[in-house]
Amino acid sequence: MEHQREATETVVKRGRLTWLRDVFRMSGEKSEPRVGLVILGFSVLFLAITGRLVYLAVAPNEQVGLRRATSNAISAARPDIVDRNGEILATDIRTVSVFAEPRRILDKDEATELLTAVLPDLDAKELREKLGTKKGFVWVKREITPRQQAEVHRLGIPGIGFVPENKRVYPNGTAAAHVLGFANIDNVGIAGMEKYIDSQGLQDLNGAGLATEASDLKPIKLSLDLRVQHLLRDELFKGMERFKAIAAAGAIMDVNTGEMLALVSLPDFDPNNPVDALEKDRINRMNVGVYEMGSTFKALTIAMALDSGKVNINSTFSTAGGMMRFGRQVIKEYHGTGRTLTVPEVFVHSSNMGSIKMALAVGVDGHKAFLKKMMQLDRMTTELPESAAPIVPQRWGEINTATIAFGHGLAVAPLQALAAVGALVNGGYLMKPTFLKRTEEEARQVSTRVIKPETSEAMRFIMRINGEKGSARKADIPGYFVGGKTGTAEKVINGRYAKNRNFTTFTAIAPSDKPKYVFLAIYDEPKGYAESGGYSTAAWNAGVTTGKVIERAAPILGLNPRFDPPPSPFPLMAKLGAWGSR
Amino acid sequence: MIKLLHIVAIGALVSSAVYAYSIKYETTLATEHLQKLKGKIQRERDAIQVLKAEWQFLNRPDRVQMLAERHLDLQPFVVTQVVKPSDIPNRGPKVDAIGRKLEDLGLGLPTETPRDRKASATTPGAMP
Repeated sequence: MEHQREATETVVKRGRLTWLRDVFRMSGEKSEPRVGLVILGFSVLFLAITGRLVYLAVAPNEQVGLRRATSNAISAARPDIVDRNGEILATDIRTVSVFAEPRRILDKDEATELLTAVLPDLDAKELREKLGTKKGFVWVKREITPRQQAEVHRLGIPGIGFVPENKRVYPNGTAAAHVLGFANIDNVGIAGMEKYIDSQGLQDLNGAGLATEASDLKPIKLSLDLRVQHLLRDELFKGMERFKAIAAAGAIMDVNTGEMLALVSLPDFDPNNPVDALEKDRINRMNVGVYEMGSTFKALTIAMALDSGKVNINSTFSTAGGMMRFGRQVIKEYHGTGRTLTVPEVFVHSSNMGSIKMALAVGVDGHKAFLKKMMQLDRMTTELPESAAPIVPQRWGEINTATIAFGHGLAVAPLQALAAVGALVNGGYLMKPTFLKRTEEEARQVSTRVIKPETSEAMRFIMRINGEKGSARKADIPGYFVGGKTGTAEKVINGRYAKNRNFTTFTAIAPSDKPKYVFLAIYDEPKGYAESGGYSTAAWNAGVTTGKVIERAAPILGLNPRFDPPPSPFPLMAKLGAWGSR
Repeated sequence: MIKLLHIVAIGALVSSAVYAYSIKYETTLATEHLQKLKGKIQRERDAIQVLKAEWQFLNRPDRVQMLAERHLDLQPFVVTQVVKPSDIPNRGPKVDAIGRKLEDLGLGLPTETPRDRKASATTPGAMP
């Protein structure tokens, strides 16, 4: 055994020796081993080179790594937001931010000292802690001025660098604050249309590393008209001071397309500096606040009654007694006449009893179904992410129908009510308001017919009569054939209706024969003033403001003033011989 | 013969190397130039963006309104300022305004000798 193993070992040794000898043998015919070795050598070399190439291609080098780290951190580009005429409402501008690579800073205390000397509003302690971390990338300060950039640059601290960033600016300031919302320092939309844009997939695009240039993104065109938006805010602001109201809101909608041309809620905020945007009284009252709309709701009641066929324009309702009793509750007439009123008169005199009788004629279930159809009982969602659900009575009995008939007991967002009024007068097409530009055809596709065209004509007719001789006279700007309805609701304070605290609304349409726009103005707790004789009802504040708004906005909106009333604005009403048509 | 071939080959090698290097340098130069231009374009774009924002900032409606109120005598448009085309009066008959004026001054009849002014009472005096 032992001997055998030795023998084999010597054989192996001898075999290796002969192979080695072959390698160095110079004669040609025995040189295959040498050629083999050379092949092997080159193969290894080339494999190494290939491997290195692949490694270089795949593995990111440090420079690329840093760029990626910053591109994750820097604020993403956002598309411009423009109004319907292309005026810029929000845009990105380039600013510079300072960052640090703590690992590469040699003397961190000195760096902190120098940086805080140049950027005095930095917190030295916080900065020292940041620089003390082992991270590869930390922000020192975002969005500095070019002057500060030059100063920081001059310090020459290794490991401190600059990176260009996008900063969102709103050049018009407060003008359309509630619609636009705002974006935070990382250019992520927090509220309003800015948040809507993000929800439409912008953030995913940025996450994939695309679209960091504003020029890659198409501007978002809103339905707002900046000029109208401004004048609405201006008038509401003046009104708020004059009537000493605690809040105001207003909107203008195109009734045929559902486009919002303006939406204002006061007090508002500056989206460039949205520190106070989240305070409670800065909410968007058109969208997030829910209110009892008062007599404005009578328009819905009358439309429902007329559309059901149980009531026609010449039906009469007795208001004798001036009050109605429901169990323990008593509902009184506010502008009592004690007469028997026709449907238009119920509207013009804003008769609570007339509205109640009409609603009861339709019945509780019918009333509920109609309001549901008019989108008054569910949360209305538009592009704006903020919205509020209406406050609907838990148990809806006869008394609820009676109060809701004249606008109490059901709190809705004013935007909701505006959409409903739009549908009442535009021929019966209900559509959700939109803040994006759209055409009439697009709007028709998403709209539903809720009332008959004849009912719509009747509604236009009674609103016009109210504008001519009723409570909406304050807004009857000559030439525009305005119709409207006031609404004054007493505010609920601690569960009771407060007599001296009103919530006033005014809804107007123009021109009444073929409405194009619906205007809404709202004041919260307006006070009486000298000319109003102390009255703080809607006509004296919201009505006055709406009149001014129509006067200023109509030329911009392209409404042509007419001196003679249209020859036959309401043919059907004239044929039926409705009250006031002659 | 073979020597000549060698010389030609070496010459071709050198010239191709020179050509390759020059191409490479040109490319590098062009890339640098491109990079610079791209940077310039970006800066211009950023500047345009800033100017646009500033333009809108200066033209924001509340500022324009404030300036208009301070410096202009313009008033808001009211309907009464509008006139229908049919309400515009037609042009009156053509009159010789200068001739009429001369006539009114009594200069229309230059050849007439002036008479007693009292006789041609132009303004009726108070009658007793």
